Amino acid sequence: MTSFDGDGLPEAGTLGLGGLCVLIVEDSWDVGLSLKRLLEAYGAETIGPVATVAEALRLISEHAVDAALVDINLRHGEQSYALIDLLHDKGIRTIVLTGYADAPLARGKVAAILQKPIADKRLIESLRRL
Amino acid sequence: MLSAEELRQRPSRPADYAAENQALIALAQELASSPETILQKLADTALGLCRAHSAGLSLLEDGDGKRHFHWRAIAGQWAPHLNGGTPRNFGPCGTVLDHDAAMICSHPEVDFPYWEPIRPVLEEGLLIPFYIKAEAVGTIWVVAHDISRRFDAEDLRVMTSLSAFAATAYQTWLNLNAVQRVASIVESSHDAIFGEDLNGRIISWNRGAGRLFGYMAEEVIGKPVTILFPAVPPTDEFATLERIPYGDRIENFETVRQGKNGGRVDVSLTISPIIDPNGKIIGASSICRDISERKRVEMRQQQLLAELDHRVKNILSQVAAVAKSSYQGSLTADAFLQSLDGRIQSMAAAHTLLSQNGWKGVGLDVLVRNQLAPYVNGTNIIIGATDMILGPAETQAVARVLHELATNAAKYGSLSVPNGRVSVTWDRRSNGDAASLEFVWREFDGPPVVLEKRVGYGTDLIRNLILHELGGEVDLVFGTDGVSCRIECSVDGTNCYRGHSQK
Repeated sequence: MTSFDGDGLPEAGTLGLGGLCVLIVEDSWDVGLSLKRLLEAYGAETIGPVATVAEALRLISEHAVDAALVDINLRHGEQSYALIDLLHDKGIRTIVLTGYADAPLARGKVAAILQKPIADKRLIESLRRL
Repeated sequence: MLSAEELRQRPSRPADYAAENQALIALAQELASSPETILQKLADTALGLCRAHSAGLSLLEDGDGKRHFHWRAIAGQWAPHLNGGTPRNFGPCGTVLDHDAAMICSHPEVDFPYWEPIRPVLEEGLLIPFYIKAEAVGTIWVVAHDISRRFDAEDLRVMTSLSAFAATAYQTWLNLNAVQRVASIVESSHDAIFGEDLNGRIISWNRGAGRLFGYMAEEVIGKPVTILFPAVPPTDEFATLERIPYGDRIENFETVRQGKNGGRVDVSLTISPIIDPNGKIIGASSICRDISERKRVEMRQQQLLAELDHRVKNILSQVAAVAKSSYQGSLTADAFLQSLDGRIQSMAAAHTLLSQNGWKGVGLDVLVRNQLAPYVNGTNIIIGATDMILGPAETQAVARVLHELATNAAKYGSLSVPNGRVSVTWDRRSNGDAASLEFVWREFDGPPVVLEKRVGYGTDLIRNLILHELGGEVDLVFGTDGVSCRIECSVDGTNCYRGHSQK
């Protein structure tokens, strides 16, 4: 570790996620915050993080969301499969974040399934590919 | 005891070949139709043909190492002595085998005192040994209890003829017993054992099969064995086993069968050919051992491992996120490591409490004392409230907030000066089925509160983590007399561990 005045992230807007509006649905406050900071550092606009399907639906109705990062297990044991279906129907490209080795998801419903803990680089690449 | 040749000296009655033939034909029929009673029939026949008072068979059996003769069939007056016996080496029958010849005896109690109480007395007996594969295995005998009947050469001839038959009958009887023993082992086996013929029709069905599959024998005998195959084969791997060629053997193959109620039965299957005495394959026998309990345990283990895997990955992402946030809030590497270490210790302590209670819940009192333990100094922390139970998600969230409150207080607030104090109180509020927690942290007698320009990670966490993870409310106030924090969240038990169940 050489420097503590920066945070190791690129200057905002420099690396190609500019103009992308990403909804974050994740029940861990820390993980959500960390995702938000990462995406913003790469120039994306973020909505959330939220920890329930209801809040996610509200945000979708209020914002023009391009993509979503969605955890499977949400607050109070809620699961996000119904939300994933709805995002698919609305044409919002979804990247699923999960700790499960084999989340039961239909192929074609989601753009990618990333295993936690998620490497920043892989997440950014997946978002770029959308 | 005398050699039976003595009888040739006596006047002899004429041979009754017709009666003898008739008796032998009846015996042969009996041997075929009900071999289990052939020995008794033989005794009856000897009694009749020799007009004896008693007749019977004494057998040397493997069961007691052939040390005794066992009277397995008796006709006539001695019938009550059925299943009695005499020692191999100390009695009339033993003497007959030793001489390897037919003998007559009289009043055996003279030589063998144990014979004394046997009634009626033995006035005269004619004993003939018989053999299986040249080995003497028993005697067939007729007895007269008084002098009204004296045996003669004709009796010796008839009995010699019957003794040849006795050997065959005894061999058949032994075989039958052996078969019945095996049948009884099969029948009482806990495993399901059944046979099928070359057309795949069930020909035998033991009790274990009835227990495992739910069919009674009469329901399945004659039915195709395929009724036990699952309607939908579980995987291709099993499909190959649906039919194996007759004559093939397969051992302990784990597969699936289907019971009468349609339920799946996990079995370990052993198949062997059934071969007739000529070496021809006539079917197959199957032994099915119920392994569903083991399969259930294995599946449960897999589920637990998958859950463990899931939790570990979640915790690693959590730690990675906490590390990033701690890094951003730290001015030096030392400060970063110290704050990260403190946060990991706090999470680990909450985890330990949850683990000790089987992830069911943790008392708030013990949680608070546990999280604040590093900061206690005399009476600087006052904890006072009735204990209440928090679920796993609440326990983890409250622990993290408490840790940030305490570290902030230790750095900048009332725990940073000798006379500063903190009070921690809470209240459980019931609202119908639901309950909520109202938790208050108050700092007293600390240094003047200075509001930082930049909101740090710790303060952000205190304000937002419970809102985000529990849907609760947090009111953090930097009052002039000290920091206070009010937390409200539901504890209605629906807050289970994140991702505890996968549907």
